[in-house]
Amino acid sequence: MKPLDVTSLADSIQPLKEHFNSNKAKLRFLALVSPT
Amino acid sequence: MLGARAVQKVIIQSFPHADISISIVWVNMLPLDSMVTVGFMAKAMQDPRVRHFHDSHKQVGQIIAQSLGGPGKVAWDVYLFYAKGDEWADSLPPPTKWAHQLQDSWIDPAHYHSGDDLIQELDRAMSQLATQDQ
Repeated sequence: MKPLDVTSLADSIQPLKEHFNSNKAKLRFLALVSPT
Repeated sequence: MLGARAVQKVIIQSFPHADISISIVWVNMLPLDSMVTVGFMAKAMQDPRVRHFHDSHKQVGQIIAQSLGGPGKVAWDVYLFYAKGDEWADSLPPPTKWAHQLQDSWIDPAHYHSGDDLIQELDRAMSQLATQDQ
């Protein structure tokens, strides 16, 4: 089974920013939620 | 968890063919929030369009709050749509549509939707934006 991929933003939010901008050609949805 | 379930039900399951990039940022806000519970929820929300992030320091909440007119505040339980072409340069752009489940005074109550109302609002927004996208 493929390992679950959750990117930590503990050191920097840059991975989220890069993901957001790399999908600029698409509609984007961002949710900020608690897991419980 | 109710918000996450709304995202799964509407954004992921009800629009399986929508060309959309979905970022889910998990944040520790409640007592039982941890990487264990993040892993459990993320595993239940697998989709090629979804990417999961974990923000243990609530930095994203501050950035989103600023983009919604609440500098110095921390947002969570928020659901934001961004149009094609929007770019995150120095600051996160304002969303084209959004909803929240917060009862804090700093955030626009006109965008408050909870429970089934949140599901309906996300469905309305997604239907409209997906139609525009075609």
